[in-house]
Amino acid sequence: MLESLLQHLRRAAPDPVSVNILQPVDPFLETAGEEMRRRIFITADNGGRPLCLRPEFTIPICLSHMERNRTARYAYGGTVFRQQRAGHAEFRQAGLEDLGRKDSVQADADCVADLFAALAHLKLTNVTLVLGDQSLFGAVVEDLGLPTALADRLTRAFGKPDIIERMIGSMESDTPVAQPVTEAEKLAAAGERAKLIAHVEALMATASIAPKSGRAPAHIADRMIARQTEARFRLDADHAAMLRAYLALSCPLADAPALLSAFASTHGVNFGDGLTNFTKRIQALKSLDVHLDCMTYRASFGRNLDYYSGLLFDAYSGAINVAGGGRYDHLCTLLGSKSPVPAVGFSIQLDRVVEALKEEANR
Amino acid sequence: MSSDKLTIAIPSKGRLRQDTLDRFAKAGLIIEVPSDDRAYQTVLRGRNDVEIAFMSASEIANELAAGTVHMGVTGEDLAREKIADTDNTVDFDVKLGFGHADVVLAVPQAWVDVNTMADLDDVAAEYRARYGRRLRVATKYWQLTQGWFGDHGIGVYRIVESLGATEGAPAAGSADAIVDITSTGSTIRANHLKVLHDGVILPSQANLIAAKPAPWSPQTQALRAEVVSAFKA
Repeated sequence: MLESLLQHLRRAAPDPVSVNILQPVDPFLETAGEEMRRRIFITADNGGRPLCLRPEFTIPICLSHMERNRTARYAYGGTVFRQQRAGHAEFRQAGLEDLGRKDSVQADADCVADLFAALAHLKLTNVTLVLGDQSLFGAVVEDLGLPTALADRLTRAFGKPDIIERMIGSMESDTPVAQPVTEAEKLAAAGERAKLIAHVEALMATASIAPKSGRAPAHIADRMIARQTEARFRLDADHAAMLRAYLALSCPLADAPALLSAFASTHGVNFGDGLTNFTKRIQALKSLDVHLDCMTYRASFGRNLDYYSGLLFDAYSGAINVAGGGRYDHLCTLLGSKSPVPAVGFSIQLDRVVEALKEEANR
Repeated sequence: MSSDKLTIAIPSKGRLRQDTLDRFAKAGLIIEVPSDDRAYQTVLRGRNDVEIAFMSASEIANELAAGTVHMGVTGEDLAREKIADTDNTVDFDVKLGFGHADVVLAVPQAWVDVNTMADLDDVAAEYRARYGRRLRVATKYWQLTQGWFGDHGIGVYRIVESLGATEGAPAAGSADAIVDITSTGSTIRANHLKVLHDGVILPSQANLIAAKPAPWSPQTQALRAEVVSAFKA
């Protein structure tokens, strides 16, 4: 099954790439964060360098792509290793990465079309797709006119509905701004930036923290001053309602452009390029003969990782999540690339496909 | 472990050992102190159906997880850190009222702009762009730290293993913030750190804990109930 799928994928993604089973740990932890650590198998070589069994393919493929610096489409497949609470730790995964292509609308559409072709190749007939878009949420947040830190906080929480709701609640609530008590609070309230920096420097010196080892005193002072604006900021009822209404949007993908346009005019939101590209992407999918009727747009659908940047999707057969993917334009930059690398891809969980095929046979 | 005797592991050293002996005595359960200080097994006075095993506090957590003792006395912090899927593996039967300490998240006092986890979330997010690396947190409590950061939606940080004095890590330049245990907060303050307003991860104390994976029989379950009710009397 894996070999046949790989051959199929390589027709659309012919660039060769090989990913060793043993990988350096750091790139995974630097990008996916500590959450990843409890899910990977970590070991070390004789020199004490930490290695892990590959938990996925995307990061190693990006790293090897960055050395080449051109446009490429890679197909991959093999076993990945992840610790779970119970059950298996080895999973078969296959997928495709499209790296470096400037025309992101076309690349996104090709990626979704290739996923459907691959799932059809695997003889899955009853596939549905849930689709979201990080950049549309970004545009909505921008329209709220929040202080930068609050806007960033909200954007980072995309894909975590309970955390977003908690944030909306706290921005709405009218907690009185506390009177300045500490020296730092008084200096910040008076806007005494230079004195505040000196104050922070003095505290660092007392604690023998080297000023260059971490946060710079000027950044601390600036954030302290900016925080006052945030503390005073209240999200009015209209904007809170708009944000909640946006996150509740869900409809067949084909209807989404109309629904989003209506939403934009009702609430005075400017989606800008986000909606234009979203609509173009749907057109591109249509010209690739992908059936839109099995796709649902869900505004709240996101992934809580800071390298995703646009399109996001999960594919289902019945209730089984058989594949997922999206656009992750920030990943190569996080991995150290000097120039940004546009990137989109998907991965198919083959063990879940096997399970789904059994379910389909039983129906 | 025989099927009709209850085995309780208690701390073998220091203050925790003495507090445990005292607390058991107060509940009317007299632990026969072996004449040889290094002996690791004894009994309850007047009972031949309850065995007492002396072990280190962290070993007790491991033995509870494995079910090689029925019950044990250890800190909730160690239990939650060392026992995977804690609440499905052990029962916290009795809070013993000693060994109070909090697992807390602390940052340098120089971070005058950081008082809450929400502040820390902002700071963690800016680290990569500003300083070319993730925020580093020194700790011995990997599980508790990962769980706590996860609950607050913070994924972009790194844990640095701390083997010695965790509270010294920020000054040593090996970490930016710490997660550590403190009973009075004095060590934290002495190192020019401060606990976040919502930075108490776990208020901990010594607990009498029962291990679900232990080979329980009707007799040992009855003994467990008897011991627990002695503490609650």
